[in-house]
Amino acid sequence: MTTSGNGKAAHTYDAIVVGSGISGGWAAKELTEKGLKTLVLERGRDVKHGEYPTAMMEAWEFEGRGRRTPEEQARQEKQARTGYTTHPSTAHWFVDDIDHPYNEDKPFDWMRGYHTGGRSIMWGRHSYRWSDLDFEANAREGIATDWPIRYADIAHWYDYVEEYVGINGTREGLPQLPDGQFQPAMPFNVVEEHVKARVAENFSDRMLTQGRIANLTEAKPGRAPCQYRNRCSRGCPYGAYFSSVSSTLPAAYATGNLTLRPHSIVHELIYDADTGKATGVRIIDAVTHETTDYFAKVIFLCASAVASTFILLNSKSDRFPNGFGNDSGELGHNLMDHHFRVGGSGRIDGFNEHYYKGRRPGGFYIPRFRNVDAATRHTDFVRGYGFQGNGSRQNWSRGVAELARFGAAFKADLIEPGPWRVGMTAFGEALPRHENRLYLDDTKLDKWGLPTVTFDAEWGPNELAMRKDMEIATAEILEAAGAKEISTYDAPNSNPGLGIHEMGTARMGRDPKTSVLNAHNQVHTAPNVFVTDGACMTSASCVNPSLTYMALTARAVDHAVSELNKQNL
Amino acid sequence: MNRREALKRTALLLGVAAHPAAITEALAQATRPDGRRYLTSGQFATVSALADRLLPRTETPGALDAGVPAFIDVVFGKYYQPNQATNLAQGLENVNAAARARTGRAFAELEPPEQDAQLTALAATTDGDLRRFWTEFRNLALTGFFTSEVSAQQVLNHDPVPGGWEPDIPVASVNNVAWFE
Repeated sequence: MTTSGNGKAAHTYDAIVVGSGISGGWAAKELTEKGLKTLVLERGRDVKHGEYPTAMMEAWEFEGRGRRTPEEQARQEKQARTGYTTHPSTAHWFVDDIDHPYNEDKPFDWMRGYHTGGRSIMWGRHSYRWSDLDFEANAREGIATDWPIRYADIAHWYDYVEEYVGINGTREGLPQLPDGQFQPAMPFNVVEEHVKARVAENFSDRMLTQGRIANLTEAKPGRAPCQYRNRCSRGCPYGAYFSSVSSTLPAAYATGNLTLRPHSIVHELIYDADTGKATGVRIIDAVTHETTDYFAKVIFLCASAVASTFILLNSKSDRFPNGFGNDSGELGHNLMDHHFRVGGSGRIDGFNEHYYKGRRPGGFYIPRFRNVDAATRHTDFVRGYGFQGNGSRQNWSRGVAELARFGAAFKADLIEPGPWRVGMTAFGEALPRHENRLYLDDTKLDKWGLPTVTFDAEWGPNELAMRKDMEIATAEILEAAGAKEISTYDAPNSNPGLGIHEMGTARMGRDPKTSVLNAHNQVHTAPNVFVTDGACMTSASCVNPSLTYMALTARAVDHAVSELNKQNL
Repeated sequence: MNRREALKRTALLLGVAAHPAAITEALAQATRPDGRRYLTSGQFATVSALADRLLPRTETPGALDAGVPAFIDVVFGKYYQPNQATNLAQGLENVNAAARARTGRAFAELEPPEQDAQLTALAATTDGDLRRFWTEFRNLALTGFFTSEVSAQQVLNHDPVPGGWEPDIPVASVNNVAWFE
């Protein structure tokens, strides 16, 4: 049933943005600042900056400390697969798996939150530029299809979003990890400095730099610098890290051009065969279950890779019987994530007189060093990986495993800072493979009567070969750092999805026969529909992708408004 | 035994309307002065004695001062899966069985040096179930202690809003005491 409300005019905007996460927030900010009356449709509840219920809670205020009741666990069995997201301090930012089911032909960990801001509230905040090493990789290696853009097409947009987001880091001049517009970095502690020096002495190809993270070290309008509480993923009342809720959406509201409708599940694009464009979107109200149509000249799908792909696949018409814009047959395919959970740690002796003050929300980064040039070619795999890590003194939890110790001396020891340890985790690039896909199951419906998503993806030989090298390199670096009691691991249950970097299911490309989107993120065959979240990615790089989504979104909005002004959309 | 059921039955016996609010109130009242709500008094005594020997009061507060037994009690009754609760109860029973076999008395009734001898034996056990129990108990007790408000205020250095990052300070400047996390 379709209710028309106050008539079509009341439901018509200049632009519609689906989703309010890191991409949707940017689309909303850019569109509204360019004067477009913009409707943001968010499927979850509304959250305004400051509405972070656990942000200031102390450890002892959580009755079970880190634990959750069996009833709570039963509602988030899949969301708990990360091992950290459903801690009571952040569980409310992740979906209820009973209300929001999905299916797995092969294991896939789909971690997400349905609320204003989406995962921009609990994201990892590491923000790295891609380079031409990434944009040229598919073409150079004959894998999948070529990116329709190069670094030169996006560099300006990286500058643009970095200036607004606020990313701290150190300029290093690396070709594979271009420098950005950085705020001052958060310095290393003494052990990280030690590791950095030892790595520089021992390797010609590897180096440590500060993790480039979206936490302010200098204030921005309406946002304070980091307070070093390291409670980021609960939501920051200081606005010290970048999220849609703290940053882009307030800017969009300030224009007077933003309408945000929560509880709005967009499930279909409305296609007009006469014009060859989408005229609007169809939503189900998550609370009332009422269906409503909204109309606009331009539509941005920013619902996250999987959800935007869901909407496209679920939008069938005579023109698009297999999903909106899916002439290529690639829609839903080439699903990627970063593979990780390979890493290790070791003890660093000495430095016992040194400590630190504050809980820094970052650490070090070891940029990719495999296959960056002829000299660093690895014979077993293509592409590469980077490491995130940090050094710190152990806390009291080291006492749990000391089974023979108890009593006054034991307690006195645990009150002191423990030995220094350094730990690191690799994040590797996964290749786009047609057979890695998601599809809709029309027989398993959710509580709104919508089809559910089924995942059918797994790591391929290139990822598995790379993982072996990731573990070897972990040990090499820890040994070079002089670490003792080194332990390394390659976790067997590191399924696709766990990196929470879903990408590739509506990829950009040069040719409509092999891709869904063009060089400006427009659906090849319906140019007023833009997809600027992870779905658009033609390959995965090994660095965290959110910064690139932001840059691509700002770039796509610029193009959209330019085209609108030329009456081309 | 289901506590709610028991209270409901008691309420019926006493002729009190078994209104949910009344039951909730009764449950709240059921918290004893020592913080026990779910464990039996015998289990709670064993938990308290174990926690006390693990983290005794010294010049700083100990496990009992920080409410560790009450924390373990609520984890047992409210946060554990049924099999975890069974394992904890069984572990406590095993500790007492070992104490009785050696001394004829329950663990909580032993003098501290005898308790310490029991703990030393426990740490050296090759019994997998007992080792798992002891590891889990230590995890519970250390968590309950070092994440408590008492620890934040009287044991560790608590700095809820550091406001800045100092990457290298002399550990002596904070009296060689770790930060509360």
